Amino acid sequence: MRFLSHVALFIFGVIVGLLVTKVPGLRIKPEANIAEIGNFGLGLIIALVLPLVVNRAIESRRRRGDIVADHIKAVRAGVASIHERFAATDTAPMDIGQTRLIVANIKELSTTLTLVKRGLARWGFRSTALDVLDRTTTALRSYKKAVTNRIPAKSFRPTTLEMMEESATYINLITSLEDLMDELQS
Amino acid sequence: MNSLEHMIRVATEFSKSPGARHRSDGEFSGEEFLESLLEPRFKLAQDARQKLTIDLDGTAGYATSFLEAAFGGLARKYGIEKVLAGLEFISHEEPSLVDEITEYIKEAKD
Repeated sequence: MRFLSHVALFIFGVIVGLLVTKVPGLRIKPEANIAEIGNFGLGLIIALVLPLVVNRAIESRRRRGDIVADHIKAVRAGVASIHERFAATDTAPMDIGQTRLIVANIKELSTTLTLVKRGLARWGFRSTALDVLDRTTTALRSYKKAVTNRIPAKSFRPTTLEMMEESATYINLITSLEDLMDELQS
Repeated sequence: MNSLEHMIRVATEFSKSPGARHRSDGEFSGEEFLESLLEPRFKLAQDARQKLTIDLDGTAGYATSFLEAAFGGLARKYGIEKVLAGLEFISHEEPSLVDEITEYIKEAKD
């Protein structure tokens, strides 16, 4: 409100300035007409209001980007945690509890990516962000396949080949997540 | 609208924690799901010329091994085209599951 009153006062001052030709004698300038004054005033208002609207939109997009980025960070942390647990099975077989936890975590990650996708579409991010997100979803699916395709419910010790496959799909997924973060922050 | 016999709600009719691939791997395996629920209901739906709807929501998640054994297993028995045409899925919690299952059906080999 204070800002607006200052703007109004400024506009008023400019209009008075336009109407006055000589100082110190106050005299109405005969050439000045109401259309010119209106045109100037409108231009001034647009010049003042437009940056405010644009800045607010940019700020709002940045906030939404931050929310999405937080979700992606959570996904990244979740994947890293699964990677650590999977790597640990190299020395100790995975038990039923670990298996279920991994499956549940992957479901959670998949759901988070779905929510992010809905957010991106609704909030009008660039289509390239959606492309990167689709790639990330595919990478998560490949990772899930590498991690859960062979695990039985009782105990599981991955072969060297399975460990390598897990590592490759893990790196691919992490890279996709980082690309997505970059895309949202650009 | 499908009748109840043309629908499977995995979480309530089978398990909230589906297991792995084979019965020998432990309880609630993909093999068990295929033999006890999926195949019998699929047959019923086929006889009635209806699609069988699978509601995948409400579980703790699905291992790839479970999905491949169940849906890939069904495709190996009845053929890829018939299974693709005869099933539909509900998966609000994890929408990408539908694409994943479709992939296993299409890749099913003897």
